[in-house]
Amino acid sequence: MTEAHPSDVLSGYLDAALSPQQAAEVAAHLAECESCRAVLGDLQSVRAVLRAVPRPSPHPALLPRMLARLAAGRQREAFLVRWGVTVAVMAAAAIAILFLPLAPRPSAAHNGTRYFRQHAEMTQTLPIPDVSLPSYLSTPLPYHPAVDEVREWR
Amino acid sequence: MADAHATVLDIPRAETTTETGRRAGDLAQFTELLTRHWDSAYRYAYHLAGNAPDAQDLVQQAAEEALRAYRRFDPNTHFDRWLLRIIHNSYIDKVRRERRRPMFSLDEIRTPLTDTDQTHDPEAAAEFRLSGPALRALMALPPEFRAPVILVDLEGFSYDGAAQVLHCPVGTVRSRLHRGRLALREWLRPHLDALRSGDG
Repeated sequence: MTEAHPSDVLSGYLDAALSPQQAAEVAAHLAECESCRAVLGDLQSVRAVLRAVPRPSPHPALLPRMLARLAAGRQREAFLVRWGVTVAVMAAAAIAILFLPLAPRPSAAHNGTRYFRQHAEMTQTLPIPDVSLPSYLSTPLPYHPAVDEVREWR
Repeated sequence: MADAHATVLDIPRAETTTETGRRAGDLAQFTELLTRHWDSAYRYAYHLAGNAPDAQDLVQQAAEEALRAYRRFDPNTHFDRWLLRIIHNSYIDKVRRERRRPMFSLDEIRTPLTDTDQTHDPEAAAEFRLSGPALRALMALPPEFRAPVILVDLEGFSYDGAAQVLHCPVGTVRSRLHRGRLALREWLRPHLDALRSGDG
């Protein structure tokens, strides 16, 4: 440390922002190096000048105006969200009202009997005694090794 | 260095379930935090921008952006550092957009102040004091060197706090702060000599 000038760490030394070991090394160098002591003195003066710079204050009306603007912005957003949802719901309802009559209707032959016909076809293809959903889901799949007899049976 | 800005959020987040309630709670908390750190935010904006009108625009723009992003703010961190980072980023964006920033010649910085600069208007006098040699030299620094100087020397942040604001390693803060101070030392040498001799 006494050989090379510790340039970057002088500010850290001034601000007590170095590790104890680094600070000790810089202190040892400063004890022997007059030019670094001069730089440190200059840095101290610069810091003193900067710390003495007057602290500007915002205009007293700036914060209340800002807060009012933020609150108004939030109200406007909430209003737009409410109206957006309302408009979306109304648009969906209008589309449904306009296009529902155009949707294809089930033929008279299938009307009311489709479910029972499908049920009958399914029980014929898959003769499971209980075709309710829980029972169906709990039945082993046909490709499962444990149900070969089921496959043969089918 | 003691950190003068150790103000972790101590306001509980609103526990409302509706979106409207959450937004209202957020606004109330944000308002309180913004009020608490308003002066510091304005000062940082002022020293970055270099004048009051730009500082007002900058701090207002940053406050609006901060409110929009408030749901992403971690309440276990420092609100002031978060807000100052938004101000900093807004300023850097603005500089990049405009591709220009107010520059002062070094000759102007070195020119000794004369009686003709004095004024009897209190507001103008305050402005005169604010635009003194130190501030003019500060404004002549590039933003990447000016920001750590403002944060550490003017606002009293620790290196760690400044690093959080600037979103960079502590070593970068230390290096840039040092180089910024060295540049200011050269530009302010006449004033520093006067200070040492007791005239300042």
